[in-house]
Formats: sequence, structure tokens, C-alpha cells
Amino acid sequence: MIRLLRLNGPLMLPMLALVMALAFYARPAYAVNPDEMLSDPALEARAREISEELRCLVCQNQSIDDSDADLAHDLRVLVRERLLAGDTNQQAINYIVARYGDYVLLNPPLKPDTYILWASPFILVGLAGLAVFGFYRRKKREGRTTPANLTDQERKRLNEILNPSGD
Amino acid sequence: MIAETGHFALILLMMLAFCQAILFSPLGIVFRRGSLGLRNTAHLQTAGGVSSLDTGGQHGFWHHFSSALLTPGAVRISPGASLSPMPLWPLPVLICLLALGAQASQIYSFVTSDFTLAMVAQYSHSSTPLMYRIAAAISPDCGATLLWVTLTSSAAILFLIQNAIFKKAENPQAIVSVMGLVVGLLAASVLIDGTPFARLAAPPLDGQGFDPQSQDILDLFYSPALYAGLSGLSVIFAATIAALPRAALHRAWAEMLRPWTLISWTLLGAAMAISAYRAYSQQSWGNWWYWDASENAVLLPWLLATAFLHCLAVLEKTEALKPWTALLALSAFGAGWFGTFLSRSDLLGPLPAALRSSGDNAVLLVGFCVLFAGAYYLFARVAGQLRENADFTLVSRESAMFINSVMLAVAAAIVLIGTVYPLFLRWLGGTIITVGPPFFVQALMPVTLAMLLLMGLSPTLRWRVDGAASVGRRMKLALILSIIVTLFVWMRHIDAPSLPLLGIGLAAWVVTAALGDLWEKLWRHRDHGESKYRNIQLLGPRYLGMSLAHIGMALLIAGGSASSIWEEQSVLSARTGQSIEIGPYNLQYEGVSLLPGENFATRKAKFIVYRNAQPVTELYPEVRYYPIRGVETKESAIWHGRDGDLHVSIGDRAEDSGRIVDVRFLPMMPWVWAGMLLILLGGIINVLTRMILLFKKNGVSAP
Amino acid sequence: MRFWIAVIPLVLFAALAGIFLTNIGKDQSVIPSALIGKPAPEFSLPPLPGRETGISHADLTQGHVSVINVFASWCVPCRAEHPMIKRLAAEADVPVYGLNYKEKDPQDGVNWLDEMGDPYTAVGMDISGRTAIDFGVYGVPETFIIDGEGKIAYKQVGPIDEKTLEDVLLPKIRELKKG
Repeated sequence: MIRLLRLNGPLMLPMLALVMALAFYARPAYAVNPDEMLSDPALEARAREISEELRCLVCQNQSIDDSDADLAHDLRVLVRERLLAGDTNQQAINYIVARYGDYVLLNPPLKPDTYILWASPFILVGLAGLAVFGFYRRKKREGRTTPANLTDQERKRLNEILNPSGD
Repeated sequence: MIAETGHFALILLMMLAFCQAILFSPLGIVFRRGSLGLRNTAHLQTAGGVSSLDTGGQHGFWHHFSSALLTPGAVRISPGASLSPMPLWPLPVLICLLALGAQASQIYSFVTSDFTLAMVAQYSHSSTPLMYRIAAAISPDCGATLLWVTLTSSAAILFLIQNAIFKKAENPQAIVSVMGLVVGLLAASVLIDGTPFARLAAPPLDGQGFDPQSQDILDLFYSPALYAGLSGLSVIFAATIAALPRAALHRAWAEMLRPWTLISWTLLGAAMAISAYRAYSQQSWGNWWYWDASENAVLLPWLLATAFLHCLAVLEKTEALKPWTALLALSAFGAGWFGTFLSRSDLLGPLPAALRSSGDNAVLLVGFCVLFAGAYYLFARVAGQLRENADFTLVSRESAMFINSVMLAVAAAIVLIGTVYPLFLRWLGGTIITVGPPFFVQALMPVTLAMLLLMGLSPTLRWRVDGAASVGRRMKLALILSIIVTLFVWMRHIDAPSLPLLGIGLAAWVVTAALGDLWEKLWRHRDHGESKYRNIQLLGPRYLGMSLAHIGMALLIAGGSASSIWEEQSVLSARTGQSIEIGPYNLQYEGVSLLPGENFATRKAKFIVYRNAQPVTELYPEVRYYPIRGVETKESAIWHGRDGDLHVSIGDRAEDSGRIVDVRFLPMMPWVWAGMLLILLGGIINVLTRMILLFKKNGVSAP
Repeated sequence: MRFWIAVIPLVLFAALAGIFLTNIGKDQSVIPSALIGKPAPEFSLPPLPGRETGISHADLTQGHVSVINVFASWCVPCRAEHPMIKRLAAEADVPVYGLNYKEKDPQDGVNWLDEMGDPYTAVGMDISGRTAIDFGVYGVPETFIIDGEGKIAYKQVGPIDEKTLEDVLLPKIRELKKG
């Protein structure tokens, strides 16, 4: 959730005037408005797709497609202009990245700085898998897996005791 | 004067809380290095048999605690060093009263709009409605930490009441001690990181006003739900710390923690639901989760609490998985604390300098590091000594719950890494990047889908040991049905992306499996000569709670997946009287009127909604202007129809002088909200029955 | 062995506290420009109403260090910053160009400068905000130092205060002028 003007921290009076002034960050421009939309639906769809990948610089994790911020509006218009000029999606994205850096990409690009980030889900799943595997192997080695040899009658009775309510 | 009294109460509270931590502390004893080389393993193995423990003696616990902490080596507790037994009640009660007093005085200064107080001047205004003045006292900034202190000290009292009635805790002293430490550290953070009681040298005539984005009835409950949830987790944390040195994580421990787990889990879930619904209704684009720091701060402890909840059930049943359960208990509270610190310190905010918090919450951070370094140190020392009784096979209910809890922990770890990665990368000299929703969705979706797979399976499995073949037999119907659903959806929408499609299929799997299990338990087991009504009784509301939560989760995933695939949207410039088609609905735009609100001016549009030419409802989306902060907020209007949400919001005037209108139809979106409510309901039902059962058990006879 | 495993959390949390405490006070909101060391973008901006000269890319490639300050009449931090821009223009001895960002009415910029005083060598009017985007501006005010070859050498995000002026901007300009 985006709370642009949420003020955290103890009061800093001199800053408050600035806070009021920075209302421009909340100056309404409204996420995608009809005036900026392209008449060609295919191009407009591509523009929406690109906009969803780009971060609104003055928001938290919000794409420029979602943002009311003034700058986001300008960037949306810019993206549409690039598409009209014949850019591919990637070229249009690169155009913005050249000016604002990787920071504008909501989906972090794969490069040495982000190797660890992108590898982390695999590493974590791998580690978890190893741990679970180890747990069962250890249990097996310690020979605690097999319940005592029971007759069918006993097994049934045991099940009733263990699963009385089934929960 | 009132504020100073509150401030004094808080200072006193902090000192008393630290006193409480020391007085009841297992470390508050004098030990000396002796020549006696006692191995702590020996103690731990006899822990259960030390009779003095059962009679409430504290010496045994201290003995184990310190030996667990300080081995290897010859550490001996000097005899006679134990403190005279002090009654448990007075200190926590006094601290709780002081916290309530401090909280009351702080709320009083907001209610009376005392702008000589810095925090009141920053977050309130004379025109702020009374309800939101109270919200301004407890939601932002150090006010929220104060609420956390109050709720945690109240939780300590609730624990003492629980302990007095059920006598479940073997060493309430240690639990009270750890609770004291938590309350003391949090109070220190309130006092040092930025106190809500600070006066201004030159007070303004009026305040800066309450954050307009938070001015909503639902948002009132966000902070209380979140911090009450965290307070519950702190009791779990304390009980785990107390139980670890003696390896006393047994059935009674789990039974004592069950209500705490369920309550905290439900409250955290409620906080997330509130945050999701507010995001959904405040923005015009029908998104409800952004993966930003403040959302992840709640999601993290919720995921770990969910994992803990399941392991606790296993532990309660078979006394297995002790180290893992303990680790989850510590981590859930740790994630809650760290997440709160992260979202509070605005470290991840891209806000301009002027908007950033000036307090860096250093005490909150240091408190976290000290507490959890100690906690994990203790865990690492004794985890190996926890005697396991893992008497279950790979195919069994225990296994399913264990593996699912591991996956929940993996999901939590992914969320944590994604949240802090940009921060660390920047600090370690790397580039500045953003880790946005696409990363989280890509990384978490596969894990979530695997969890759904197990979630459907888990309730139908038998405890301890089950056969793969018989499981296959039982699940055949659910498997076929869910494949049919997936194929059906796929055939109707051949170009649907695969992940959401899988989400829908697995949701169908969970629901059919849960219903099939219910059917089986109700009817198949009739042969014991019991009537099916007796079977319903036997199943009990606890089973019902679990089923509700699982079905709710499935609905949430299905609804979220479906609405993301089939969302229909239209943005246009509308004129009065114009009719707009969207999904199965037809909206007639009736124009905008400018109306005064309590402390805002609002442009309210009117739409009459038709379906098949029949009027269904009227919707009133608004754009509000809050003059005090000079901020506009949008309040979308939402109609939860039977097959989807109709989401309408308005914007500025368009260039052709029409009104910008954004209408969306989100199919199956009501499933998301229904799913969230079911999950909460499952938690509530479970808590209530648990309490009733406990009372019955203690009132009638011991098992 | 077990003892050393137990030490891991202590080390980890100490490191965590260390890294957070050393970085916690720093401004996390500033996004370093992607354009540092790169040539300033091509642009040409018209003058304010009633004035003669605007600014263009050519002004930045004259072989001497120059400064571009992005400001707007609706931006209150700019108001707070303005005295420092005056000092900068007076003390740095380099041309200071103004980029007037997205005025609703072109006259607003003129009025503002009339009221506040005009330290700028020349001011260009960026009504569409497009040139600002080319410069990677994301919040006003921002200030760029351009070296003699027209490359962006430094970017200041947010208002300049006395400390920034004296400790960062002026030394940086002096250093660039030297060589």
C-alpha cells in the first residue's frame, strides 16, 4: 500500500513547511487517463505492458501505470511517444533506464549485482530440501520410522484412538 | 501536566520492566566457576525428572538455564543464590497499569488537541474528527510503539490469568522475565527513538493534520490488530525461551501456546486483510497487494506464525519436531519486530528527505539485535539436546504439515531477502535497484502452488503412518475433479497464463479434497454404529476451523488468479447521463457534486448500476481534498457482485471537459475477500472452541 | 563444535546491528544519477516570457564548468534553497543556469524570480518537463554540475543547504575548474 505522505518520525518543524509544499507529489494527474491513451489499441496495450514494468520514482513499489504522481504521468506519455516513434518494448524501457538507472525497473535485471537475489529462491528451496531429506534419513537410520508390528485389528483400534476427530 | 505524568509513567514502566526481567530472570543468580565439570547433557536428560521443578521451585530451572548457556566448562550455581520466591503478580500488573496510564494520557492529549506536544502537532489538527484523533495517537510513529508496549504488557497479564486457571506453564517466572525484557526494550525505544510526550518550545496554533490516506474506519483497526498480534507472538517467544534450556517443549507447552498462536495468527491475518482491502479501495486500479515494506512487515510474521501453528499441532499430537517448532516460534516474533523496524524507519522509502522520519529507531534496532542474538544463541546451544520423538513415516499427516511449514519458512525467507536486498546492495556499494512485485510473484508462486498441493493432501492423511496407495484411493475423486476444473477453465480461456491457471486448478484441488474428506469422515465411518450426527460432533469445530481456513486460502488464490486473468477495464472521459458498459454491468453516470465532508471537501460522483436492464445499486466514488495537508485521496466505490467486483473511481476533468472515469470488472474478486474472511473465521472458531475445550477439561476431569 | 555453531547468531546479529547503525542516518531516498560521467543530454529550452535568452546544450560545452539548477515556482523547497543558489552564483564564479520546471503558467516563473531575485545566467523554460526527464530529474529542486566538456559531474537531489553548498558543491566546482 502506498502512503506517500505518511509522516514517520518525531516532529521536525522546519520540515513541515516542506511537507506541505511537497504536495506536488500528490498533485492529481491520475493513473492512465484517457487524454494520454493512444488510439491504436495494440500500441496502447504495449504501452500499458511497459508502464507496468517501470517504477514510479517517488512511490513505493508502484508502477508508473498505477501512479497518480506527475512524473509518472510524464513518463507514461514519454513511453507512448517512444512507441509511436517505432521503438520496440525493450528500446522504450532502455530509453527510460538510460536516464534513471536500474532503479526504475520493478523486475530487477539479472546481472552480477542481482545474482544472489535471483539465486536465493533456488538456494533456499535446495537447502530446505536437503534439510527435510536429512531429517528423514536420520530418522530412518535411527530406526524409528516403523511402528511396532501390529495386527490389523490393533492397527484399526490405534487409528481410532489417534484419529478420533480426524483433525 | 497530563503528558508529563504519562511520560513519567512510561519511564517508571521501563525501569520496572527491566527490574522484572532481572528479578525473575534465570540469569539473575550468582554463579562461580568451579572445578566441577558438569556436562549439561546430563542435566537436560534428567530435566523432566527433577521433582523440585514440578513443585514450582526455581532453582532447577536456573540451574539448567545457566548450564545450558555456559557449558562447556565448569560452571556451578552457588547454593543459596536463588532469590526468595517473589509473587508473580504485582510487577506485571503494576507495569500494565502504568502502560495503560501512559497510553491514556497520550490519547487524552490527542483528544483535547494539545498542540504543545510535538506528536499531536504533527499528526493531528483541531478539525480532525475525534475517532481519527485517537487513531493519530496510536497509528503513526512512536505512538504505535507505545501501543505495542501497552498491548504486550496486557498480554503478560493475560498469560498470568491463563497460568492461574490452567497451570500449564512449568516456569512462569522465566516467561514473566522475558516478557519484562521485551516490554522494557520497547518502552526504551518509545522513550529514546522519539517520545510521544515531547513538548515543543514554540507550539503552533494548530497541528498538521492526520494522514488523509489513513482516514478510514477500517484503518482504525489496523494498528491494534497488528500490535496485538505481535504481542501474542511475544508470549510465544517468551514461553519458548523459558522452555528451551530444560528441553521442556512438550505437550503441555504446546497446549498452553495454542490459543496464543491462534489469536496472534488471526490478528495478523486481520491486519493484512485490512491493509489489502484499503489498498484496493483507495487506488483506482483494483490492485490489492504491492509487496512494499510495510505490507511485508506483516506478511513475514504471518507466514512464520502459520508455519508454527502447524508444527505446534504436530508437537501437541506426537511431541515431534521440537527444534524446528522452537526455531519458528523465535523467528515469528523476530520477523515481526524486524519488519516493524524496517517499515517504521522508512529505510526503504523513496520519499524525499523532507518526508523521512527523523528518528532512526536505533534503539528498536539494537533492542532487536540484542534480544534475538541471545535467543538464537540459546537455541543453538540447546537445540541438539531436544529429544525427538519423531515417530511418523514419510506419508503421514505429520510429514505433510512439517514439509508445508518448511515451505512457509522458505516463502518467508524469500520475502525477507527481496525486501532487504536493495538496502544491503546499496550499503555494500552496489547499484541501486528495485525489487518489485514481479520478483515476489515469480519467486513465491511456485512455492505457493506446492504448498496448495500439500494443503489439499494434509487433512486427509492419517497421523503417524499412512500408505501411499490408500491415499491415492482416497484422493482419486478430488484429483479428477480438480483436473476437470482446470481443463474446463483452460478450454474456455486457451490463452490464459499458466501460473494463474495452475493456481485455480490447485485451489479446486484443495476445496474438493477438503469437502471429500468431510464427506468421508461423516459417512464412511458410520459403520462404527455411530450416527452421522455423532460424527459431526466428533469432527468438532476445530476440524471445521481448519477446513474453513484451508478453503479460504484456496478461494483467495483462485480469486486472485482469476481476477488477474480476466480483469476488464475501461478508462474514459464521461459526460453526465452517459452509459458505460463493463462486464455484465451497465453504469449510468449521473454527474459529480461537490460536498463538504467532516474535515475535507469531496467531489462525489453518482453512478446507477444496471444488470440486464435492472437497477442493481448506486455507487458513489469520491475524490477528497484535505486542505490541512493539501492532499487529495481517492475513495473508489466497489460493488461485490455474485460473479465479480465492480470497481469504479473518478479522476480529474479530461481535456474534453468530461470526467475521467475508471471502471473495472474483476471476475471472482469477491472470492478473495470471502477467502480472507473464511481464514479469519477459521482462526476465530478454532480459538473459541479451544478455550471452551480447555475450560471443560479443567472443569470436569483431567484426560 | 556446538559452541562455535552457537556463536554464529551472535556474530550475525552484531554484523546486522553494525551495518544498520552505520547506514541508518544516511538519506536512503537519494537515487544516484545514472548519468554521472555521461554527456549532458541534447536540449534547447526557450526563454521565460519577456526575456531574451533561453538555455541549450551549447551553453554547457563552452569549455568551462557550469551549473544547472532545476526549480519551479510551486516548489517550496526551492524557495528555501534560493538564497544558497544566489551564494553559489556569487561565490563559484561559474555560470549558473536555471531550468524552470513545469510551470502551469509561464508567467509564474518570471513573477517568482522577480520576487525572489534572479541569480541565474540564463533561464530555460521546460513546460513539458521533457528536458528534465532527459536529465533524470525526479524531484525538484535538483542541481547538476557540468564539467567543461559538457559531462554531468555531480548531481544534488533536494534543496541545497549551507552545509551542502560549502562542503560539497563549492569544493567540487573548484576541483573541476582546476583540471
